[in-house]
Amino acid sequence: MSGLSVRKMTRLAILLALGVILNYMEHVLLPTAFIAPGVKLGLANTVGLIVLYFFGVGEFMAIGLLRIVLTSLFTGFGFNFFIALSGWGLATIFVVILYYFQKFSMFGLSMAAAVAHGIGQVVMVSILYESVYMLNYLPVLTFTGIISGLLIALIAKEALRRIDAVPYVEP
Amino acid sequence: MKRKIALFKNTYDVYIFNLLVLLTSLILVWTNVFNQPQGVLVVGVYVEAERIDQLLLYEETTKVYLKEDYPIFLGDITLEIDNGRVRVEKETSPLHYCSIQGWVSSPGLPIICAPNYFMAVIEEAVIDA
Repeated sequence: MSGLSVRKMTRLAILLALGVILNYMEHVLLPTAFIAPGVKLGLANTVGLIVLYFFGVGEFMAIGLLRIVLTSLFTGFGFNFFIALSGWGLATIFVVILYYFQKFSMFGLSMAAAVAHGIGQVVMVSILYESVYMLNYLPVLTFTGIISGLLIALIAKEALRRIDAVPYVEP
Repeated sequence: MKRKIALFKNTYDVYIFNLLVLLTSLILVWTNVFNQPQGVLVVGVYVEAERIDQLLLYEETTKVYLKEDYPIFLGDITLEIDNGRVRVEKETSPLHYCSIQGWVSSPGLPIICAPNYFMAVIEEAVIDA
């Protein structure tokens, strides 16, 4: 990211801020944890898909990591930080691998990322709590991950269709 | 700007979907058949990921964890165990997720009171050295 233009940097900063805000808004306005602990739509991931679509994999990774760090400034760098980090780490690995095949649309990437995110989180919880039986929670998060991945891709697709309709001037 | 991924779903996405459904099914079978506790079942009670208590699952119990003992709590937390199942009966939190969750009888399915940093889960008894 050494050749960042001011325009690109501004756009990425806005998207990063949007990701943090969406993450917070979802927590406050769209609580889904009553379905099962840890289940959430992951609205902020729409921003990740938009970054991947417009900028590429490097920026996608940077914005994702920065979003977790910035969110943790509000919530603290305790266990939740490590759980979020492990979810992001595994999801990013999956997305980067699938991205380089150049075969999948954002629906495939989003589903794989959401499922990997759940797996990463449960494995980290299992390690932190030193209990292999915590892994029994995996099917809940993988199943809901498929659904939330599809919904997030749908939202991102609709957002991108509208963004693409706006005339763009290259810097 | 680059546009390196397609917007609309394609055949490869269907492959991924099928693969993820298969993965979920395999994990479900593995967790239900091979990853079940064999020993004595207890309810592990954790605060900030530290085990503070173990309660026998088949012993009817109601226990209150007090805010004065755990200042990180928003209020007292009442845990109830009845006939092989457990629930958080009463707690203080903005949305009351963990008390809404109700009874849990499956090992590994956690009851998480996030604002209180409290978690209860059915697991195999751990004998502390």
